[in-house]
Amino acid sequence: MMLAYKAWCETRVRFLVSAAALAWFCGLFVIFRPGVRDASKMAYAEFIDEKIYDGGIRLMFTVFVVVLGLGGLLQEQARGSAAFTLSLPVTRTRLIAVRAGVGLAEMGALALMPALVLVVLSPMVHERCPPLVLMLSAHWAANGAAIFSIAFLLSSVFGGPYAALAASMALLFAYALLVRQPMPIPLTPPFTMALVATSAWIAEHRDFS
Amino acid sequence: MMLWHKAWLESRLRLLLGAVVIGAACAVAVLFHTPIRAALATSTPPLSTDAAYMYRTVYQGFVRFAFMMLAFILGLGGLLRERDVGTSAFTLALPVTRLRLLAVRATVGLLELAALAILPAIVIAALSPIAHMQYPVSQTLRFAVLWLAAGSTLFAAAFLCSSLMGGEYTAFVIAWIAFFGHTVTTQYMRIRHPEWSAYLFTVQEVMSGFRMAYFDPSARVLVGPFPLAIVAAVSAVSALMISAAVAYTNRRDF
Repeated sequence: MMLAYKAWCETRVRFLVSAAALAWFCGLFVIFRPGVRDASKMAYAEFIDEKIYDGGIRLMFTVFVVVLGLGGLLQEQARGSAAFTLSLPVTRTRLIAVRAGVGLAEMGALALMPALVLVVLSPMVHERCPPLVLMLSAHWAANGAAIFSIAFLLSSVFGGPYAALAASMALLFAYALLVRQPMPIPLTPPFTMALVATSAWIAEHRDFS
Repeated sequence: MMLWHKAWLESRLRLLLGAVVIGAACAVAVLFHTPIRAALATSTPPLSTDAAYMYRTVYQGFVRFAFMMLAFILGLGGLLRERDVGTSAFTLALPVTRLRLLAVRATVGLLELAALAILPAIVIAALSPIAHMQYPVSQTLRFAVLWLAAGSTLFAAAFLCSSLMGGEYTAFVIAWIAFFGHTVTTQYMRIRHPEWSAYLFTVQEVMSGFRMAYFDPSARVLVGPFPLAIVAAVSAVSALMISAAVAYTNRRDF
C-alpha cells in the first residue's frame, strides 16, 4: 500500500493538472460548441466523436499519458534518492509493477474524464449524452495503455528526464507517421504487459549504485 | 565560458535526439518521396508538385510538429529543477548573477533551437539532387526563420513555466496546456469575431504560413516580402516571457 502511495505522491501533480485541463477543455467545447470550428454543422454524437475524442484534445491526452509514464528509478538515481527506494524490503519488480499499476489507473481516469464531463454537461446544453462515449473512452484507455508503456520503458532506458520525454514523443510520432492508425485494441494489453515486464527486467539487472 | 558549457551539457542529449528525429524524418521524406506521395494521395489532395509534397510532409506535417515538441522540451530545466535534484545551491554559489545564469541558458537553448530550425533546409538541400527533387533553397531558409521565431515562443513558454513550477514534468504539462488554450482561443475568436480574423494567428500558422498573407495555398509556397513584422512580434512575445522568467527567478528564494 505504501508503494502505491509513493507512486501516487510522485505523479499526483501531473495527474491532477492533466485531469483538470481535460475537464476544462472538454467542458469549454461542449458549452461553447457553436464557437468550435465546423461544430455547428455536426450532430451532437458526431461532434463528440470528432471534436472531443479526436483532434487537439486527443493529442493533449496523448501528451499527458506520455508524461504520466515518465519517472522511476533512473530519475531517482539522478536525484540521489534511488538508494532509499532500493533499500525498501520489496523486489524491484514489485516496485516497477506498483508504479505501472498506479500510472495505468491514472491514465484510465484521464480517459474517462471526457465521458464524465459529457454526462454532466450534456443536459445543460439540452442534449443527451450518447452511450458511444463509454466506447470512445475505452478506446482512449486501450491506446493510452500502449502509449504509457512506451514512455514507461524509455524512462527505464534514458537517465535524463527530458531525454526520455523526447524519445517517447519521437517514437510515438514515428509510429503515427508510419502506421497511421491506432494499435488494434486486442493487442494493447499484451503489448503493455510486455513493455512493463521489460522495464522490470531492466531494473532488476541494472546497477543503481 | 563554463556557464555555456554547463547549459550545453544539460541540454545536449535533447538536442541530439531532436536532430536525429528531424534529420531522419526529412531524409526519409526526400529519399522515399515516391512511395510516401502515393500513400498520402489516398487521404489528401494529390501532391503533384515537389513544393506541395515538401510542405505537406515537412513544413506543415510531422517534422513541424516534432520541432514544436522539441522547442518545448529544450525550454525545460533550470534552477527549480536543480533545487529538486539538490544542486541549485552549487549553481547559485557560482560568482555570477542569476540574470547571467538564465541569460546563458536561454541563449544556449535558442541556439540549439536555431540549429534544429535550419536542419530541414540542410537535409533537403543536400538530398534533393539525389532524389531528383526540386525545392528552392530560398523557401527552406524562409521557413527556417519562421520556425525559429515561432519556436522561440514555445521555448520561452516552457522556459517561463520551468521558472514558475517545480517538478520535472509539471512545467511541460502546463506549457502544453497554455499552447492548446492559445490555439483554441484563437479559433474561437475567429468564429465569434470574423472581422478580427486578419489579426489573429496561432504559432503553428506562423510556422507553416497556413492562412497567412505571406503564403500561397494553391502552390503551397511562401510568397511576397518576408513577414518581418510578424517575426518581430512573436520574437517580442518570446523575449517578454524570458524576461518574466528572469525577473521571477531573481526574486525567488531557493
